[in-house]
Amino acid sequence: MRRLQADGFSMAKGTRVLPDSPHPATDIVDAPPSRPADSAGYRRLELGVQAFFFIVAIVTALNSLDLGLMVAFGPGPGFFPFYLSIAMGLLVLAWIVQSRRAIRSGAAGDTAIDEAIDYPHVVTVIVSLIVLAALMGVLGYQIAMFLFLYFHLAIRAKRTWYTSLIIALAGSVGVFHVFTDLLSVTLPLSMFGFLNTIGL
Amino acid sequence: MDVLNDLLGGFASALTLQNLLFALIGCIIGTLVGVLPGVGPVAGTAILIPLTLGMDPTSAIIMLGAIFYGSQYGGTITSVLLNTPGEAASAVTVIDGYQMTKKGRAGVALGIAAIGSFVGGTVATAGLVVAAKPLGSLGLKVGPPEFFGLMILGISLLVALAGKSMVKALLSGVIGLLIALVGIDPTIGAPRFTFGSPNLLDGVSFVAVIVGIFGLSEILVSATAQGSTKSLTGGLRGMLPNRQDLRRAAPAIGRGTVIGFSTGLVPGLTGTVTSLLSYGAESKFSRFRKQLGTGAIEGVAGPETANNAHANSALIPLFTLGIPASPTIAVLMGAFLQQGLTPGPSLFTQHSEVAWAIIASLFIGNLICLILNVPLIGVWTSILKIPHGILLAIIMIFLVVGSYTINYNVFDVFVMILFGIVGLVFRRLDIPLAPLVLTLVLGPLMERSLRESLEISQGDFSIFTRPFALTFIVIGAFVLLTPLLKIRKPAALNVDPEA
Repeated sequence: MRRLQADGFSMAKGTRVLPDSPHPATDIVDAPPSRPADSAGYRRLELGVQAFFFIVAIVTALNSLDLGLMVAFGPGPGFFPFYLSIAMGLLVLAWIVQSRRAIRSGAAGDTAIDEAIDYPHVVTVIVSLIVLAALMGVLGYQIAMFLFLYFHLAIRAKRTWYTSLIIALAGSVGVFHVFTDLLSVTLPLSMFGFLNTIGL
Repeated sequence: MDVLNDLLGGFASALTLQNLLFALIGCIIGTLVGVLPGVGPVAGTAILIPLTLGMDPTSAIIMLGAIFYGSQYGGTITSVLLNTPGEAASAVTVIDGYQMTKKGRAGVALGIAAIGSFVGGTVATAGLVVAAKPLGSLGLKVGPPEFFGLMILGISLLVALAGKSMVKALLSGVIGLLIALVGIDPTIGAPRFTFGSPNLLDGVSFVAVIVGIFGLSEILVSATAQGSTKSLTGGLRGMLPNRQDLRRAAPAIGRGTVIGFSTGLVPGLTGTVTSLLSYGAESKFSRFRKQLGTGAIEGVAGPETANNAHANSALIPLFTLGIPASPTIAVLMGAFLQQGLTPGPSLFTQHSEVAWAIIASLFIGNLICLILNVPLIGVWTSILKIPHGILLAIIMIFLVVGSYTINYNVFDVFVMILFGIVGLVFRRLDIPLAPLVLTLVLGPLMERSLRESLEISQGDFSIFTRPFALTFIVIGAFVLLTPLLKIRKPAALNVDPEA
């Protein structure tokens, strides 16, 4: 049990065990080789998030005061969020103190996840999803999702054009008809009349 | 006798063709969720909530419940065959499960896991049957102050056990509560934190938040985790365990059932912790403990039994007191609320037939999973041979459709994307996600009980000194203050449950 606690319990989805280890219980490692924690990047992110949450706490507290803490028959709409904002502010301060201590003791960044983040992948996925969401209301689900899937399959995953085409059609037109015709769950149609009339 | 009649009534409803079909679909989807990398039980259950909104409440919850425990079965398959846990609760099964596969005993490992899961799940459901009425009637006696205290206790336990830093866990919980308060104030109807956006008047969709924070953030970090999947399906010969296997596994299944059932009752002790505790028990008490790590059947039987017993017994606090014990249960609770059902003691008085049908379906669902999983193992593993890029694209379709269809509003897709980024940042900074999900679902109920209490007492906080309320709050405070009292948390609990 102690062996597992020492290194095995951080296992989660996607974790692999060294296949040919004579002591599998002790040789559990993460699947992707972890990059060393980027301490400076970690600290910048941590500081940014702490500042953001502290500002949110102040804005929420002020907003709650405007809403009113008490009304004639008891607590008002601002009562609960006001005290939560105070708690949030105090917790952010406690976190800042903990981080400062960690920096002084040289342990800063040690708590960051080991998962190496591929930033180009993150940006591409997020931007493509934003474009998809923006286009869904204009072009409708089928065209927007088709473009999204074709981009991810043909360009990012480098699948052949016909594989990408088939999967993109299935994920856009196919899913649309399964949801609308079989499950009675409507997905958006294009706002352009000429596309709308042909069912897109 | 009343309980038996209620349960039989529940079986009559659960055994209708429609509900059986939904239980079957739920088990299949749940297994798929467990098998697929990138979709955990939390996001998997949340994504499918919109599909159930047009359904009859009983069928909807039966299907979502089946997805929940089906995912426990699914996670085992990849642990045993591919050396990769499909979901966190099956992580410890990798150790002996994969070793058994290498010895050509994959079928036996999966067979004993399915049998153990069935036993654990069934015993825990029987526990739910026994506990439902007495705990439910006790629950009916609690007023708003006691309910508020109970929620403080539930959240404290989860926060205390989530992640390495109590401060970050608490912060995550407070953020969840604040998000839950966005929208129209339930008492006087004033808009709160909507910033003039009509899209926020109904609040922030919890499905979009959960899908983003668990599903999308997993995709964002998964780009580098695309190892090749090498299946050792040759070991599937001899699917059923023989008599000696069963004799060796029986004590482990017994221990796993007790551990899983007990830990399921405690909010915060999730399936991951439970399966590890079970493995620990095997390494201490099993007659064959020296073989653990080399393909011992006990190393599979114990943890797999425990995590399924846990999954089912974690429904007891939800059904009887309205307290979700884990993020996935919180999502299930959200599904109950979406269907107009409030989990807790009133469930058995106001919607008794629904409650008992769901309980009966747990027995049936466990049996379906047992029957379904062994013959379909080949199908599940073949899914993992789909190239990573295609799999990611397919999962993203479900993320987008799942978040859109909850309110038929593209705004929720943007919410999902935003919380995907939040989830990524939280993971990067080691802020646990579980408290946020729990408080997101509990937030409105917690505020309502707090405000009702203070309305009863006309603003006097001494109402919280009523014996039960005070006891719950004091225990909750004690749990939260343990770091200051220098009571060390076991290292095994330093993990974000189900993240």
